[in-house]
Amino acid sequence: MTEKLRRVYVPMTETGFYILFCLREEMHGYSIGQRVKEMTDGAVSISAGTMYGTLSKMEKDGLIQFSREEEKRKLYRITELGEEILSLEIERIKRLYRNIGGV
Amino acid sequence: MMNETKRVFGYFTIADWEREQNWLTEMSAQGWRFVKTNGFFYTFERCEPEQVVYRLDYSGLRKGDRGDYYAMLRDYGWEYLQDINGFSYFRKPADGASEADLELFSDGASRIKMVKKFLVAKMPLIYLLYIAAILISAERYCDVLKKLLHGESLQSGEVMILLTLAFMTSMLIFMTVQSVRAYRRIKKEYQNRA
Repeated sequence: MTEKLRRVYVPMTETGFYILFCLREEMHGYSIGQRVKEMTDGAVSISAGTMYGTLSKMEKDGLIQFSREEEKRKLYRITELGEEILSLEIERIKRLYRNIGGV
Repeated sequence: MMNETKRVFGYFTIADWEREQNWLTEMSAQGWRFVKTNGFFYTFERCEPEQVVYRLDYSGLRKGDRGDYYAMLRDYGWEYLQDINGFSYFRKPADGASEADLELFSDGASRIKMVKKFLVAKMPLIYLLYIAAILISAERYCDVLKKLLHGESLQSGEVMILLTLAFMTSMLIFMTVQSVRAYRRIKKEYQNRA
């Protein structure tokens, strides 16, 4: 993994994190948005343009890859590089949580 | 019965895209539904006053590559209306939807990126065209400007040349000012929210 990508993606925005986290399963943009809403009880809501832009950028940077198309919807899945970055970010968040007194 | 329609002049630069969105939203609330625009004139048709929002996006995508983009926005409930100058127009019913669902961008970063994409796509071309136009008849411009500086009287053809030059230059300055305005506004808003 390049130093540049690490700097761009760690720490990650909440939007970016949830998108990458969801893409451990193959999904398309709208379904990611719905899933994130469920996971966060509606607290995190990712608008359409932001979703589209984030997916495009992550695909360009090689964190996720296009897997197939379904009625013009593009489905994506996380790549190995994406997994690496995601686990770095998860470690960071766990450390944060431990340091504020969580278990 | 023919639908009653009207055409209204409206000019919005990149710095005014939110104002344009609000205007279209307001028109629908007053019973005039947006039909189409050519960039200067906006066609509306009479309707029952409706609670809808309009949103603009500069996707920067080539025409043939927009299939999945439109598909995603449709999933999110956005009705695609038209494209003009690279901007796509969308509409969505406003009743019952949360504030975040009525925006195309849920964070400042993606909003800034949209404006940046537009500026990067359009401004270099505008500067190039300007420079090309100047270079093509640089000699004539120089002659006329020299005459002007020496206080010599100009022939009508030379006045036309001067006016053209002045027009092109002021357009360029106008576009530049609008771009800077747009970028600053967006950036300020982003910093306030972040």
